[in-house]
Amino acid sequence: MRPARLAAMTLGLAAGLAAPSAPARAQEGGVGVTSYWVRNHVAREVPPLGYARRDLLDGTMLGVAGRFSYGRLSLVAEYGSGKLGGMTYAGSAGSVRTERAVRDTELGARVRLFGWLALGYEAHARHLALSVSDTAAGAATWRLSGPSATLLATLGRPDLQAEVGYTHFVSRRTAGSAAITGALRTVAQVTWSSPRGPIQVSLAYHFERLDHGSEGEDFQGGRVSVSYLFGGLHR
Amino acid sequence: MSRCAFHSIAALAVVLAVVLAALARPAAAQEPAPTPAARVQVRIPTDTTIPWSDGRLPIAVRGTRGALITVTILASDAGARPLLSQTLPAGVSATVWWNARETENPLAPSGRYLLRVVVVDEAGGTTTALERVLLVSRAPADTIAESPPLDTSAFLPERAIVRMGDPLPMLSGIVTGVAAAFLPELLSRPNLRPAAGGNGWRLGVAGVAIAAGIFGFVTSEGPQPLAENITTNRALRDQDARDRALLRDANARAREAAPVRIRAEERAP
Repeated sequence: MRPARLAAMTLGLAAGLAAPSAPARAQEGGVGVTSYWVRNHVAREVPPLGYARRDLLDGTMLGVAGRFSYGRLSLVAEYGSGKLGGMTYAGSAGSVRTERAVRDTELGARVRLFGWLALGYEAHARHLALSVSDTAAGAATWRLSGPSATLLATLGRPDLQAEVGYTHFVSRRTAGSAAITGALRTVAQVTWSSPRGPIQVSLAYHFERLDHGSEGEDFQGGRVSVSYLFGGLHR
Repeated sequence: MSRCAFHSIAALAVVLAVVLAALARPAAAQEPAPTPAARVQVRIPTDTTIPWSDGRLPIAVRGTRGALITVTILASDAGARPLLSQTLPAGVSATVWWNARETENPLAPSGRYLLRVVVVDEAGGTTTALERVLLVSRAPADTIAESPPLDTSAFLPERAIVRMGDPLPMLSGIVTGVAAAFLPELLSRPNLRPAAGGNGWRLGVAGVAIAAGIFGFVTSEGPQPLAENITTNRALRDQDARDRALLRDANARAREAAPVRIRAEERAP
C-alpha cells in the first residue's frame, strides 16, 4: 500500500471515529523550547570485523515547538538543531573526531479518539552534515512519515499526564545517503502543567531506529520541553 | 259690452279669487298643535369603580311620555361592535346595567367605549339625546412581589473532595516508566542492542514516570457525592418551587379580580 494512501486512511479512520463524540469547541495552544540530549549510535559494516564496529556520537539539540489543539484534534510543529560528535574508528588511521550537524523538522496531526488513545500521522525531516576531523564529509537528508498511536493517561491529578507513543515511518526517502529500509520511533513522556499558570513542562525519552540495509543506527535520549500555553478552554 | 255683462264678469272674478285664495291656505293651519319635542334624562356616574366579579355600571334613564329610548354601548374599535343595546318603552324610568364585559370576551379589556342614548318619538323620528365616552381600565392588583432565587449559600455542598486511592495512576506511571526503560532495548537493532544503554536519561525518565504515578496515587483527589445533602437540597428546591407556584397563582387571581374603573367623558366634537 502506498504511504500516502495509508496516511489518508489512518487520518480518515481517526476523524470518523472521533467525530461522533467530539466535545464542544475547546481550543488550546502552546509554544515552547526543547532541549534534546541525544546519543547517536551507529552500527557500521567494517569488512574485517563484521558488524563489530559501533560508533557513538553524543550531543545536545535545542529547538522550538508549537502546538494547537481544537477539540480532539492536535497539531504539532517542531524544529531543532544541534551537533553530535565523538571519536569513531577509521581503520588504519585509528580513531578520528566525527561530528554530525543535525537539523530536525517535525509536523504531526493527532486525533484523540478516547481518553486513553490517540491516533495520528507524523512527518519528520532530518538533515545531517558530516564532518571528520573538522573537514566536511558530505550531507544527507531524510524525509520520513507514518502513522502513530499514543496511549494517554492521567496520573491521578489533572496536572500530571503520561503518554507512550509509537510511530512507524512507512514513507522513507533519502538524499545523499543510503536508503532507509526501516524506521520507527517510540516516546515515553510525563507532562506537568502548572495549576497556577500557563506553564507546562515535559520530560520524555525518545528512541528512533533507522535501518540502512545491513547497517543501522539509532538516536535516543532525554528531552525536556517547557511550554507557554494559551487558550486552554478545556483545561 | 253691456254694463250688466261687465258686472257679471267682475262678480265671477271675485268668486274665483275667493276660491283660489281658499285653496291656497296652508295645510298646517289645519293640523293639530305640535307636541313638545321628546326628552330624556340620563344619569351615569362620571368616575366609578366596580368589582370585577359582579360589578355593574348603572345608567339611569327617565323618558317623557310618548318616546322610546334606546341605550347602546359600542366598542370603539373599527367594527364599533355593540356590546349592549336595550330599548325602553315610552314614558318609563329605568336603570340599564352594564357589566363592562364583552359578550365574546369574558375579560373586560381596558379601552374606550361609546355610550349613546337615542330617543324615538311617536312620529318615528330619532334624536341622539346623549353620547359619552366610557374609559374602562383595570385598577392595579394587590399582588405580592416574588422573592429572588435562592442563594447558593442556602444549599449544602453536594460533593466533597476526598482522597481517591485509585491504583490506575500508579499503574499508568509504571507502564510509562517501563516503556521508557525497555522499549528502546526491545526495538533496537540486534547489533546495537549490547550498547543500547542510552545515555542515562532512559532510567531517569523511567524513574520520573514511576515516581509521578506513585505521587498521583498518593495525592489524587476527586469529588464524591454526598447523598444526604443532595436530598436536602432537592427538598429545598422543591419547596421553593411550590411556594413560587402558589404565589404566582395568588397573584394571577388578584390580577384577575382587580376592580374595573369606569370614567364617563364628553365625546370630543
